[in-house]
Amino acid sequence: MGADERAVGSQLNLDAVLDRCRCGDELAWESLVRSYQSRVYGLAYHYVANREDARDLAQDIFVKVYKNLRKCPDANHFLPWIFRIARNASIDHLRRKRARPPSSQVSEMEVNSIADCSSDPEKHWLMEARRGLFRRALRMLTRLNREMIILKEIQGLTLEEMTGILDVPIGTLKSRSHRARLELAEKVLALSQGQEGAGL
Amino acid sequence: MSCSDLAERLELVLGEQLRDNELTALKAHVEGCEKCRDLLQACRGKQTLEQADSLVGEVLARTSGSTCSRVRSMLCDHVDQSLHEDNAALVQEHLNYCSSCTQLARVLEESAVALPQMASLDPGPLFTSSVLAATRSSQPPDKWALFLSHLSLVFQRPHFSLEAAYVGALLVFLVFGGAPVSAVGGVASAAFAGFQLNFAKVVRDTPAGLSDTWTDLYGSCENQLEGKIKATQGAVGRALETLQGSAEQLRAMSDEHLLKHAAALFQDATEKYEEYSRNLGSTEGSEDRPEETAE
Repeated sequence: MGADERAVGSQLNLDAVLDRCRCGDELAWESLVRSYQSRVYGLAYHYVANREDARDLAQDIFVKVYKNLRKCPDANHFLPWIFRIARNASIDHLRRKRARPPSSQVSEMEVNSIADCSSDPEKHWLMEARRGLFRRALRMLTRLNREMIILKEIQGLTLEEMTGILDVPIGTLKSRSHRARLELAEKVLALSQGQEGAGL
Repeated sequence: MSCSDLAERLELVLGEQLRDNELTALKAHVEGCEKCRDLLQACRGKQTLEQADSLVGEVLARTSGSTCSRVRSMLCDHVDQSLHEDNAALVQEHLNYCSSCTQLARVLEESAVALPQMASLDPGPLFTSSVLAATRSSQPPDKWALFLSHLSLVFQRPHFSLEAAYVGALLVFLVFGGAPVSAVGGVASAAFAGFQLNFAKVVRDTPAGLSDTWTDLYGSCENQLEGKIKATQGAVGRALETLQGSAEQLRAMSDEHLLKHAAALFQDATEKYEEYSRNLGSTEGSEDRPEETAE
């Protein structure tokens, strides 16, 4: 359970919030958006790798969620449900964008992680640089391995939840899980050794 | 001391039984001779990590092969501490000597901490308000709106089944509703000809790959429509024949009934006329008689 869900849980049960959202309660909807916006934005960013695009995409994802609130399952399945919408929207976005590639790549350092609000700027910079390395390595993986890392290792979904999102048998996911982690570690190692070799 | 002297006195060197002057000469020689230095370290079991790695690697290459791939297949479980303790001990022993696997294990350990921290990213202070503004204008659809959207999907054209239903309904209307019965054959044929014309146009405008499919579809529809029209014409013809027979029968029945009725009326009128005549005759006789009496 992330910080966002804890915030919802501490004030109001997620099931109750969803029920009130379905009845058109704007305050409940605002609470839901505030609770999940960083997770949805984070997921969209890992797919599209661009801050502005990810923000627009996250907004579209929430509009889709709002329009489909009646189809929304119970609280236990809400996170996989919203991630499935986010993932499909991200893939659609990437398909649309494939025809017109981005004019400039946003620096990895521009992305601010909520998890790290360290007061030490140097430590914060080093950690963010290291995360940037992980993001670059993530983009070097195959699509399935990348999605495995995004959904399982970053977003913390279970393999059972991921089968519904990726439409891949659970056996395939199990065998892929360790391979994806290992591949990512190898890429990170190669990138960091390359940086050290370049004197960075 | 030379290299051969060292080799001869190696047992004494390892047993630390050299005299002081011999020990000083040994140290002086070892400082300048890398080969003898390595030999002494190896004999004393004080190999460097690289030396040990190299030696083990050579042995494994000549025997069972490299174990790095086997260790890497278990490395994630080792980092997650979900590996069986026997395997964990062997993997750990491998990691003590294999620098590349050790580095990989360190990155895996780091990723287990760093990746979950990347789950949440700050979308900025204005994000929530922009989402709320975007969703405020689009209220969630109620049941009636959902029903209407589904209905619009049903009527969304082109749907071949719907087109066929339209043509069928048109035919039924023309045959039974909007045209005189005598023109059944003509109207049906005209509708069918119109259908043929439209279909030919569709086939002509369709890409070549789909043309055969359209033609097959058209052929089956043509056969079915022809059959339906013939069946309808037959049914209408039979109904007309039955109607005509019934009319003639009715007319015959009506004629007979009218004749009987007319005969009855005629007989009744005749009887009434005779009675009237009789009454008239008796009245004239009674009126003459008093006058005769008075005379």
